[in-house]
Order: sequence, then structure tokens, then C-alpha cells
Amino acid sequence: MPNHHQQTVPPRLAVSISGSGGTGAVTVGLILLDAVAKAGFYGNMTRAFGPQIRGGESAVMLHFSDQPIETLAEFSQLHLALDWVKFDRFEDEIPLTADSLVIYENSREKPPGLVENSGATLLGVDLQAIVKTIKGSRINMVALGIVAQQIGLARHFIEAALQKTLGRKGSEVVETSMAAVDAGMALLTDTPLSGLANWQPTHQPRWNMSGNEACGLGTLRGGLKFAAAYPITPATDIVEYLARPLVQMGGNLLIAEDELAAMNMVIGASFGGAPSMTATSGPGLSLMIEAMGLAVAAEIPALVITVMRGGPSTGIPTKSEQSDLNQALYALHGDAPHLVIAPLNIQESVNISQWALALSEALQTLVILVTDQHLGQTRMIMDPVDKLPLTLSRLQPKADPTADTAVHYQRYQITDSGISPMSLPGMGSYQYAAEGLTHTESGLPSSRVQDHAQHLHKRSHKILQFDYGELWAQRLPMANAQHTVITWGSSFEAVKEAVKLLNHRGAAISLIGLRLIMPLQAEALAALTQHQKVLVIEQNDSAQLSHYLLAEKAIPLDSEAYAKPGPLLFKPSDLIRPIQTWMEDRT
Amino acid sequence: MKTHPFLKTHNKNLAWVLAAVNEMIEESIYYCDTFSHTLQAHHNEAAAAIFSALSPYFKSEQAIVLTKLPEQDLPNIPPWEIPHQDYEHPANSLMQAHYLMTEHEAWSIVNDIIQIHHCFYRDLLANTSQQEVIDLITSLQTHCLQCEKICATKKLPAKTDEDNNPLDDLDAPVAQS
Amino acid sequence: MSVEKIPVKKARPNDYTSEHHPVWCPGCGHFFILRALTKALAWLNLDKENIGLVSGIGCSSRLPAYLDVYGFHGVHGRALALASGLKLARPDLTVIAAGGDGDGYSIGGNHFIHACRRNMDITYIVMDNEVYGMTKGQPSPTSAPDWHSKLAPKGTGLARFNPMGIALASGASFIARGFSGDPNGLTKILTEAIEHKGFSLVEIKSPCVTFRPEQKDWHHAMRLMNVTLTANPMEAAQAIYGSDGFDTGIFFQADMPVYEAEAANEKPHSDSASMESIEKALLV
Repeated sequence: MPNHHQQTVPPRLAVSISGSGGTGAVTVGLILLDAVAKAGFYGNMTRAFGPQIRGGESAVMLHFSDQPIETLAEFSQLHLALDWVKFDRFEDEIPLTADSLVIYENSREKPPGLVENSGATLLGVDLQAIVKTIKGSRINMVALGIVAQQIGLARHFIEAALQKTLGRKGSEVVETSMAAVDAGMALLTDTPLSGLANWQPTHQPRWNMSGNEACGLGTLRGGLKFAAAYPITPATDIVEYLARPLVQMGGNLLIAEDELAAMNMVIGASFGGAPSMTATSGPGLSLMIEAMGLAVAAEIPALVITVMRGGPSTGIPTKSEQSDLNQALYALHGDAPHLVIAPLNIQESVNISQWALALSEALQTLVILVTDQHLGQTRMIMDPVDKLPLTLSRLQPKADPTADTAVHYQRYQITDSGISPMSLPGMGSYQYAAEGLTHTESGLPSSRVQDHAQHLHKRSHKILQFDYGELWAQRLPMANAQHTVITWGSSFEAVKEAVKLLNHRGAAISLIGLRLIMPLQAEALAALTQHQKVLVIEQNDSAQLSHYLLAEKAIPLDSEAYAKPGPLLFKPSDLIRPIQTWMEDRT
Repeated sequence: MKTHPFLKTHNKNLAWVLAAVNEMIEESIYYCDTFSHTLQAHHNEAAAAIFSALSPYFKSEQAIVLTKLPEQDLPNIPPWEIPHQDYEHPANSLMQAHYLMTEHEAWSIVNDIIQIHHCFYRDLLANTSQQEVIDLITSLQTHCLQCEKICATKKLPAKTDEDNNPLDDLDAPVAQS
Repeated sequence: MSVEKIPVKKARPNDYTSEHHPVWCPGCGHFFILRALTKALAWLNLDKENIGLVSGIGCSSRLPAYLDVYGFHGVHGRALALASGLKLARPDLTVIAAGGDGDGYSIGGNHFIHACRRNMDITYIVMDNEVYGMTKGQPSPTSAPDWHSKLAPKGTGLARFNPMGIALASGASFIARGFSGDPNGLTKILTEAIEHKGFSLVEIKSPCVTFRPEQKDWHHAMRLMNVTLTANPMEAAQAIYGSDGFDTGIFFQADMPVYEAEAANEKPHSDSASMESIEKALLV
């Protein structure tokens, strides 16, 4: 790694593990992440899989630091191969260079050509032989010991993490596993990557959490009382996480027969007064679109979290892409103003999902929270996140049923804010019929010109007039900058690091990460970028965000886009050259 | 018509009679109002007017019953109960309605409803010896006869060929969804 | 509780009607279903604010606007899904879903199957006129195979969908057929259906005077309340499959597990205590 890089970023360590046929690479990754966290550090873990449900080849990539870290590693410093079955599948995810050390199980196969050609240092060890000496042990635990020794991770952190993961299987399992770990730790003597020993550990509490779980937690904090969903990769983890805590919080979860049902169930529960959500991904979102329009028209609060994956059609279910922005913005028929919100990283998924649910309640409309496979399924050690002090809630009519307002209750009353008091079943004298047809203030269907125009305006006005505060974007302004980079979602962390590096080298680039994408804060964005050269960076093939910002006149007409499709997340180094090239052209 | 399983066969005292008659008249008023409204919505003002014209007559018929109500502790009559063997629900004749119905057809349906009242009253008279029931039913029958007369006079003199072949709607129905 | 012994009440059918009058075609069977429903609600003396009436799209799905309850006129075919969400979130409500044969059995077919299977405490009223009325007379899943229409000039040639058979096979615990021309029998069925704990299918033959004027003859064909109630699914299957479609009454009613709100059965700690333990589980 070049020296200047080390000056600007905290120490880092990148480790990967691969294996097939249930060798347990993922288990090693999970234990390792937890053990490094217990040692006082931070890190993240991503996964890659073959198409098999069980027993297929799988790999984990871990990135450690003494600071919270959300980016992917530039290359794998230490790769441990439990075997080489179908390793070429992971060529993109596990970059090997001449600086890599590859330790592999050598009793069966030799490293494939792509590994040999990488120039990495190769070290074969006979893991199978070690396993035979410890009854009941598995090679992944030996591998765990090797990695721990190589990175300088103390034994007791491994033991504590093992206890947490395997403890419920009994003390014998833990003891056998530790014996294998010890054998692994004793196997090699040199410690080329023992960086952990020199890092400054923290003793503050930290969370071990995926982005999908972060979304679940955020919605729980926002008062979620109902979730319905149909399983879909990579979004299902959200509702799986919610299943228990939601009931603990007095809520309910319904497994829908399909996404059409899930969205309608959400609307039904929300009509009943429960803050409600569903989680899906592109194909499922397509099925929800019609009912999402109902939430807009009938003014029912509803949160839809969509975890983007490669598309179109079935696409790449297990990998990431930012290509469903157009879908979230435009898929609804008719003029259907709604909110589209996206967190910029895993950690802030907690707060942004809380915010998204609160906004759906306060504005009585559809909110689509857009994340992606990387943000959702990457597991991360993070500092605990304080709950947002939000006071947003659903506006309800006065409880006094004798009040004159009750006698003439108009569910869709035109108000200054566009938000009408919404009664809940059980409130006497406030009965109404929620309506998906164009309607009058009382909710009676109408096809009159005036009613149509009035209620279209009401629904767009209510979301346009609302003060979203500072959360609409993350701004990292640079003094005297003439260049501004705009990005969103999972691209943000890599762009941030690339911009930081370039600024460190003497450039002056401001960065804006957009969270509130619809309604676009176009005036504010235009004011920030009016005299700037603007580059929009996004992970899709058609520059969806860039076109949207141009169409809304939120950025100058000569703005450019750097749009590359998934499914590989940008690494900071992928972005240095494109940003430099753009700056040279635009100076 | 086969005997309905919910036929009322016993305990037809004054209180029950008041409640049952009230239920029946309330039903007639509801349907007159409702059909008048939908015929108006379908721009068949002439037929609508006939249903709305009858509604006040039924209301005054109901008034005869209501004057007796405060004196009586009424039973709760299950809404599925059939008050007598020959009872026919107004739905039977109302199902013959259509939006282009002629005045003749409208009067026929209204007359059918009046006949349902009549039929019930006749059955009550034939099967009671309670003087207070007889008195009540007699006054209701008198009222009913007046309604019948109105029907008889208002009903168009004879069916025309046009009545047998209702006017065609030159426009096809309008798709709404 | 038997519906025969409802305590003295003061609610009247008219209490449940809204200020909006139905604009169904004069003579449409749906008028009598609306009235029978308000009579059942009145007999059960239910508070109007505690009733949720959900519909999809179609002539019959206009129903919620005509009642003074909490109504929802949603999208085509999804009434049961929306009603399921409402019932789970608000178990205290009496939840009724309503719609037509196209809405329920065609576009909403999957939801119909799974609503039966969940057996939530929901009453589902299907006003079956064997035609898509609101789009001007196309054949529906319950149309006879030889019914000629513009869209299928020679008939569809397809066997009818058997809603009661599907409901039985899918796990509904109350299955009945009513006739809109028998408002009294229908009121009885609706009352029992609403009182039944579990998913109740009330399939109602309801003539369409505009596109199926020949259905006026149903008046002569229907056999009123002639069906013998059973809790035995084998016997019910025999009765359902053995019927020519003109028998009415409750075919099947059984005490079966009902999908209910889990939260309602638990006694959760305070929200803040629960949240604390949820967050604690995330700690390294």
C-alpha cells in the first residue's frame, strides 16, 4: 500500500476466508468479527456465495480497523482457503496481489492459476492432518487459530466469541473447537500481519449488527407496530430480525402470501392505527407498486424498505447495485407524490429508518427507504447509535366525539399544511371510508375536475411544505472548492474516502451525500452547486440519479456522471482516477 | 315457495304484532327511498317519483304502529324471522326493477309491496282473537286500502306494447373500472 | 354465544347506513345484501366505530361507502389482504371484507386461498353474479362455460371455479351460500358468519340485472336454507360438491385454530424496557 494512503486513513487489516461444502468459512468469519470486536476494535464483514442453498462454496471478507470502517478492502492481505473448489467465483470479491499472503489447505488440491498468477505469497498447510489429531474437530477452527495468530488476536477473545456462538451446543463443543484453534495458533511462528497488537483498543460498548438489522432497530425505535413481508433476497433479514422484538414491543408480523398481499396488509394495519412497514427488493417492489399508489391516494402512512440487488428481472439476487432508484421514484402510476429516502451507510441506517417511519406517520403517505445488498447484509462493528429525538406523529382529530368537527368529519379535509386529521377505527363519530378513487374532502368518490386537482395538489403540497431539517443530505464542504461530488447510498463511504484522499493531496472537492431524494431539495442543492463543477457518482449503468438531478435542475447542466453497474461495490481506489480525470477536464 | 325454516308460528301477541309490522313497514320505507334514489341517479325520474311518492304513505302507516309503541314492551324479533306462511319479501318484486322501468312497472312493484302488507294483515286477522290486535290491524288495513286505491288510479290504464318492450338504451353501459 | 340469544338492543339497521345512497342498477341483488348486512349488524348490536369494512374494486366493492362504519375501498382483488392486516393490528374490531366474484376469485384468488388458510376472524362476503359488471359484462371465474359474451363469443369452455370447495380445502372454518333474493335467510347467515370465530366465507348469489338478466330466474331455482350444517369436512365436501349451486344455508362450521395477534396474547414489558433489552442483544 502506498505511504500517503496510510497517512490519511487509520490502520486497516483485510482478511478473507473461503471454502466449500459446509467447511464453515462463514462461521469462522462471524467468530473472527466478534472476537476482533471483543478485543476493542472495529470491522465489517461481507459475504459471497455460490448458488447452492447449502454446501456450496462461500467466502467472507473482513475489514478491520481501530476506527469504525464501512469500506471494502482494496485487496486481501491474508486469505485463508479451506479448499479451492470453485474459487474463481470469488475472483472479483477477493482481490489478491503480490502483497497478499495466501494460506491454504494443501492435502488435496493445489492453488488455481489465478491465485498463482496474482503473485501472492503462497503457504500450504495440511489442515486435515491436524484435524485428525483432535477428535471431533473441524478444519475451519484450525483456520480460525491460524488467522488469529497471523493478525495478533489474543486467544481469550477467540474463546469468548466461540462461547457466544457455539456455547449453546455445550461445553464439549467449545473445548474441542478451542483445541483446534490452539493447534492452528501453534502451527505458524512468524506474524507478518500482527497489526492488532499495535492498535489502540477501545473499551466503549459497540454493536455487532448488519444494515438490515439496523433498519429493523430504527423502525422499532420509530414505534413500529406491524410488519408484513414475503421472503426475498436480500431483504428478508430485516423481517427475520424483527420477528421477536416486534412482538416484544407489542406489535405483530404477518407472513404474506406474496408482495401484493404484504403491501395491502401494511395499509390495512396502518389504517387501524399501527405504524407499519414491509421490506422487499426490486422484483417484490414491482408487485407492491399498485398498492403503494393506494397508500398515496388514500393517505395511509406506510413504510416500504427496498434492499436493491442486481437487476432487471431476477438479476443478481445476492449482490448489490443502485439501479432501482428510478423504480422508487417513478414506478407509481398517476401523479403520486411520495418520499424516497436512503441511508448513506450501515450505521446511519438505524436513524434514517427511524426518520423514514416517523415521516410516513407525520405526512400520512408512502415512504420508500432505499438501501442495497451491501448496506443491508454487511455485518459491522459500530458505535451504538443514539435514538433520534423525533416528535413526529400521526395527526388525529380531537377525541371529543361531541365536537362539531366529528359531526362533519372530513377525512381528507383541505388544510394549510395539506395534512388532515386522521381518525382511527374505534373513535366514535369519526367513521369514514378510505378511498383509492379520486375523492372529495369527505372521501366520497368524485371524477370532477376540481376535486381531482384539489386533492392532487393537497397531497403534493403536504410533502413539499414540510421542513425536513438538516437530515436531507450529509454535506462535507471544502473551503474554496470549485468541484462538488454528489452521491448516495452504499457508494457514499467509498466516495467519501476517495474525496478525502484527493483533498489530502491538495484538491478541493466538496461532497454531498443525498438522503432525501424525493421530494428533492432542489433549491438547496442548486444553491450549493450553482457555481460548481459537479460529478454524480452512482452504481448503476444508466446514471439514474444524475438524470434525476438534471431533470429537477438541482445541478448545473454541464454536470457529469460516473455511473458503473454493480454488482461490485466501489472501492475508494476505483474512484480516484475517475474523479481526477473529471477534474482535469473540468478545471 | 317452500316453508321457510324461520317461520314464526306462535306467541303472536300484540307486542309481537307491533314489532313485526313495524319491521315490515320500515323495510318498505327503506326500499322505497333507496330505489327512488337509484332511479334518480339513473335519470329515470318518473319511476323514481313513484317510489318517493309512496314513502310518505308508508310512513303514516308506520305512525299508526308507533303511537302504540310506548305502551308496549316490544320483543326483539330476529331479522330472519318469517312472520307468516305466505310472506314474501319485497326483494322478490324489487328484483324485477331495471333502470329503464316504465311507470307502469314501477306502480306494479309498489303495489306488490302494498300487497305484502295486506297479506300480512289478512293473516293476522284470520289467526287472532285478541281485540287489540284486531283493532290495530283494522286501522292499518284501512290505511293500506287507501294506498292500494292510489296505485289503482295512478297505474297507467293498460299495458302498452312499449311497456312490454322497454325502451332501449341507445348507449352501451359505461365501464367504470 | 348463540345468535338466538342476543341481549336486548336498541340498534336499528338504519343506524348503520351512511348518508350516501347506493347507485347500483335498480333491481341489482346487491341492494338486498347491503340491507341484510345492516340488519345483521343491528341484531348483533355492534358499535359502528368498531367495525372495519374492507373492499376491493367492482360494483359490490362500493359497499363501504354505503355504511357508516370504518370502511376501506382499496385496490382490485386485495380486500382480504388489507383486511388481514387490519384484523391483526386491531383484533378488537369486527372485520368484514366484501367484493365480487372477479375481485375475490380471480385477481384475488391467491389471497382468498391464504385468507382461508390463516382462518383469521374475518367475515368475507362475496356477491357473486357470475360476471364482471363494472367493466361491462365479461365472463368471471364463476360464469358457466357456455355463457356467451363479447369477450368469449362461444363461451369460455371452462369449468366454474368452486369457491366453497376451495375454501373448504384451504382451511376456512365457516362456509355458507346465500341468495340476495332471500334477505331473511341471508341475514341469518351473515349474523352467524360475523359471530363465528374464524374465517367465514359467505358466497351470495346476487343477480346482475344489466348483464345477466336471465339471473332473475334464480328466484325460482334457489332452494332456501335447505342445507344441513356439519362440522365434518368430509360431509361438507359431499354437500358442496353435490350441490347444483342452488342450495343455500351454512354448509360447514367448525371450531378450528384461528390465526390471532401474537402481541395481544402477551403481556409485554414497558416499551422502554423492551427496547433496552433489544438493544442490549446487539452489544459485542
